[in-house]
Amino acid sequence: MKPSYYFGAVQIIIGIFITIFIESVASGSLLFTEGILAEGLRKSIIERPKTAIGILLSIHTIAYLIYQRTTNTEKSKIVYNNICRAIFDSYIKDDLDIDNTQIRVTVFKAFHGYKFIGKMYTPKICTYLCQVGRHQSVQDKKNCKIHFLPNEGCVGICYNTAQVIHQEVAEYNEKKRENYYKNNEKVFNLNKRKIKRLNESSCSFLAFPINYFNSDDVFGVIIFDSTQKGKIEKFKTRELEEKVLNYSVFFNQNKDN
Amino acid sequence: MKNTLKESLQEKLEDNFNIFLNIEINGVVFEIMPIQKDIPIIDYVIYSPEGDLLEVKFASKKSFMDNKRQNEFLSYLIDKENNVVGFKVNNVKKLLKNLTAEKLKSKLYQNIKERLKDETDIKEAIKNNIEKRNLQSLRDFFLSEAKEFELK
Repeated sequence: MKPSYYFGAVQIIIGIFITIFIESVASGSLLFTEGILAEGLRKSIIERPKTAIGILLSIHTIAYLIYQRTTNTEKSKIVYNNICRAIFDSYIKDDLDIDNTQIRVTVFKAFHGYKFIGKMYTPKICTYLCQVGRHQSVQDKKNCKIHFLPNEGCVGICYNTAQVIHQEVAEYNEKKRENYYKNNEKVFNLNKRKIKRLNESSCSFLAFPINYFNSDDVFGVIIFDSTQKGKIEKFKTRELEEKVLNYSVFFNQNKDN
Repeated sequence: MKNTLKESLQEKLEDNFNIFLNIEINGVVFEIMPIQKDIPIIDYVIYSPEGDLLEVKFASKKSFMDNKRQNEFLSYLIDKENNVVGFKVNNVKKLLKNLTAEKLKSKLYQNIKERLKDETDIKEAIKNNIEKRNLQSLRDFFLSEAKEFELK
């Protein structure tokens, strides 16, 4: 369901409550609550109309802020998905040497907030990278469920170094799954739990830091990943970087989630 | 041959910064390439035949603070934050004597490990990566422009 429907429903409910409350104050008794709420509570609500209205308006304000934020996120997601698509169409789609069903383009954005990290999963404020856009040609499109810390995965290492990274690990083999996990743990500092939550068992990666315009501030990372080895390295890296830089006009520096 | 030493060295820098190099970070080797804006832009290259000295200065907002002598041939121009903002190459004719890529490399890289010792830290590894590319560019530049120094 669309966020606007949820917000509409909240508005109607708050509107009904306010109408009932005004009627209740006028009649001196809280309507429709007899036998549901305790007598003392009903009395105190009627005696404190400003507090009751204040609470209802606060709920409405919170709902409005959540709605605005969700709408903004949805709009950004469309922009980021389109950027991924534009890059995919320019460099991958029509390349006869590449099986374009095996490659994805994903944008990760750096956020700052609480994450449960470490061996004890204690909450800590840190920077982490979260997927905000993706394009792939296969129809079974799945979003990345995990967040990467700046030292995790090709994404995290690219963010940390602010350099272009090309890296390959052993191809995934159902019979030698453990090898794949160990390889990823060693190279990308990713634990088995996180690797298992990835949708694709990619083995080839090319990651670009996204600088905020031409500054040193890194906004996030754009990454190509493939389940086939030796295909990504042939990309025209500088051209791609130029293209990513051109799109930086759509990125913002805000790291709050 | 390029019109000027500056253009020639700039071209070598671009060639060396536009390739992936294997860089070790925390014991793992990654293929890394600096982003385009990290390619140094040369402000000037001056060769003084009297002093047999070549000075290279990168365009930088920070002015250089100090000369850091690396070996008999090479000194870095360093800014306040220890970033390399240029080079001074002393004894150019001696450096280019019996010129081969291998000999030139070993002369330029003398004692380089003292400067680029800690490669385990990411920031150090990246900094070293950039410095190595700078030195490679300098080596390539001398190999192609030796004639300019009346040695061929």
